[in-house]
Amino acid sequence: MRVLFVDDEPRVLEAIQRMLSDAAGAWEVITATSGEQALALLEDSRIDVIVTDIRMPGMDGATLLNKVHERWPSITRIVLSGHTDQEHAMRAMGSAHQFLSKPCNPKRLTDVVENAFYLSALTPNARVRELAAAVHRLPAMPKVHERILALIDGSRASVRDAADLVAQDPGLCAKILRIVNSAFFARGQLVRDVRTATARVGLDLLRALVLQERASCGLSGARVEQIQRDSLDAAAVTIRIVAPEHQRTAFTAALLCDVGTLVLEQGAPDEIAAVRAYATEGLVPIHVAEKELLGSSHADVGGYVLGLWGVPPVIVDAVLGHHDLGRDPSHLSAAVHVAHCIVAGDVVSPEAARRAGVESRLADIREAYLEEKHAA
Amino acid sequence: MVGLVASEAPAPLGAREGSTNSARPPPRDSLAAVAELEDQRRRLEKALADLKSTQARLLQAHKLEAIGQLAAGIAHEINTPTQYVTDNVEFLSRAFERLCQLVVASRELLESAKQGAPSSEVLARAEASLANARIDYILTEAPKALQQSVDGLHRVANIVAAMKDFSHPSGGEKAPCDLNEAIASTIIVATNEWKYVAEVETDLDPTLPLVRCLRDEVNQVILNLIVNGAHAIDAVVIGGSKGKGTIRIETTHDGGWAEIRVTDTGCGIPEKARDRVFDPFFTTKPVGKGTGQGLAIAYSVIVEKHRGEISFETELGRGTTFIVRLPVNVHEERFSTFCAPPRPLA
Ligand SMILES: Nc1ncnc2c1ncn2[C@@H]1O[C@H](COP(=O)(O)OP(=O)(O)OP(=O)(O)O)[C@@H](O)[C@H]1O
Ligand SMILES: [Mg+2]
Repeated sequence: MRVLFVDDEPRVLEAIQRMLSDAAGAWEVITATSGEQALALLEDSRIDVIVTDIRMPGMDGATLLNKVHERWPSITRIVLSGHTDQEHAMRAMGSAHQFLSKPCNPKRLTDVVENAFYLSALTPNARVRELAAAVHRLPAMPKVHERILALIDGSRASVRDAADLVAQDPGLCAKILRIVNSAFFARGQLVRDVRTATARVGLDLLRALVLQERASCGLSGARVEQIQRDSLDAAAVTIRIVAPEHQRTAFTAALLCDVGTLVLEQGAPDEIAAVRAYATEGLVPIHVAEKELLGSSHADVGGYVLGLWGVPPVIVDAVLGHHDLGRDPSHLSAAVHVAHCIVAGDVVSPEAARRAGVESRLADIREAYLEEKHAA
Repeated sequence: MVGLVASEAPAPLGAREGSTNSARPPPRDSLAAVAELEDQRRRLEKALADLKSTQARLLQAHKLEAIGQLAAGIAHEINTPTQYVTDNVEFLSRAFERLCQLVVASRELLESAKQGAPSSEVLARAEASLANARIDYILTEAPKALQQSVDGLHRVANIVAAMKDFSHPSGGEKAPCDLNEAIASTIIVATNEWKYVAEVETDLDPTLPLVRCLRDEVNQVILNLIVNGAHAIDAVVIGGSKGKGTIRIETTHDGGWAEIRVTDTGCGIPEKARDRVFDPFFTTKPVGKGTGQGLAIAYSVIVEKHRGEISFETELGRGTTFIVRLPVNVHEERFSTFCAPPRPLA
């Protein structure tokens, strides 16, 4: 694994090299003191992760990351900046997967880079990895966005209502979580639920985010809306499964479970259509068909993207494991799995029900969901 | 500003004209005319007072804006050394841990050597911890890590001291001030504004007498001149992608005057802008980069508040020098022998 650090202050680079010297066996640390030098290094050698400062004489970090994004999309892009202002953070967010602030404690820096390695190891299919790493915008949800804008611009804007709307758009949801958990917003505790995240982000920034999304409106239509509805249903069902103290996290995890499908729909529409046809003909579950044809499932892709964006590991693990209970032993991914099965009308295996702790309540939960659905 | 003055005279324009016209032809009543004159004088006075307070508010607003921008720059200047000090300390503490293990193993080795030949286990342990310590790496890197940490902490301390110095409020009272020191602090505080596009050189006259002035406001003038210089250079070197320019700051004194010269190697001031640079709100910069108040404020502070002079020499494509001259208050001149030598720049 090779990490390239870019900073115009050589002492920052030297110190990082020393700090990482213990891990020298596992990682190779390469440094550059300018964007131009970094690009030259990228031409000549394979790099897995790039960590760059933003403000540098000559080419700045945002420009550098844009170029990296264009030419080597599968490289994980991380910002490590001493600038604390919002404008810089927002500008860099477009092409960076994660934003860290100086001073960043050594453990966090190593964790973030190691996490990037871990994630790329999870997704062995280079094509999918490239697709996922290249994404920095999820398909837009124009209708939801209009409603959010109307709400914010109206006289009765409230964070609570805004959060409820945000919850209807998994892409926006992921984006906001990624933002509040970036070093720039984070105040210690990781934020895992949409409402807290919306409150942290604030209505003004939310508005800006929605406008940004809307301006770059990508994919939309019936399929995307279906994914959105199912995710929201599953999120609501998940709440009935878990204990009150886990509800917020579980809701968010369930909501984000199919982010990978959105990424695939956006980046590889033909392949995903073939997958769907294959699944219908062969009567195999979608995620199995995805694995067979693409080498990775939407769970892998979603977990990978969310992980790259710095969404908290509990949620990433639940997304990764929501079709594969062997992968993540947590109660959370079992709960999400069960909720998705209920919404899709699939059978819930006894093992899954046991892990989610709903053996005795399964029928009731399913019933309640169906009733609600009919009522709606 | 116009809005403010006008709002104090709520009568519509036409109505006012009418009343003036009716007052001009043969005064029906000279007492009424006097009253009206008196009224007008009062209004003018009020307008003048408003103008002054608006100006003061503008100064304050510009200052706040400048402070906001500076604060972000200063945070960056502090965060960078903090980052490398933190990483170095992390490295040093791990290195220390390994050295401790090595000492324990060596001690064990020594003990068993004293009692005869050390056992193969003891030898193996000592050898392992020696290998694990990666002693050569520590020996070459630890001194550098320590030195850079010390330097980094000095840098932070320097910035904090300069910040305190720069922003210390004068409370509107003039006090004897060492301009060299004020310049040194301002340069440090403004580092983030110039360092990507320019080197700063200073040539500060060590015999410069103390100058009686509003120190915080003079600091702000120096800051505005440095930032203008940096912007003018930026226009030429484009964010540092075409190398860096130079900002040179000199102080001298002659007769009863102290002089500060701020010279940049920037774009120069185009002919048609030369008459207007001191006008409030005259700017050639895009929104967000300039409001056109920097030099207007400098003029007001230097000329109006200190009875000094401000002027410039410029050549397109070569650069610009702004020259600030402040009268040295005779009373303070005798303190000049106590004047501290200029602080060396970090
Ligand atoms: N050193 C310089 N070199 C070239 N042009 C200059 C220089 N200093 C000032 N100018 C010109 O004079 C104008 C007015 O300067 P002034 O400092 O008053 O306002 P500003 O720099 O535009 O905005 P701000 O209120 O942020 O200072 C500038 O926009 C620029 O065109
Ligand atoms: Mg200016």
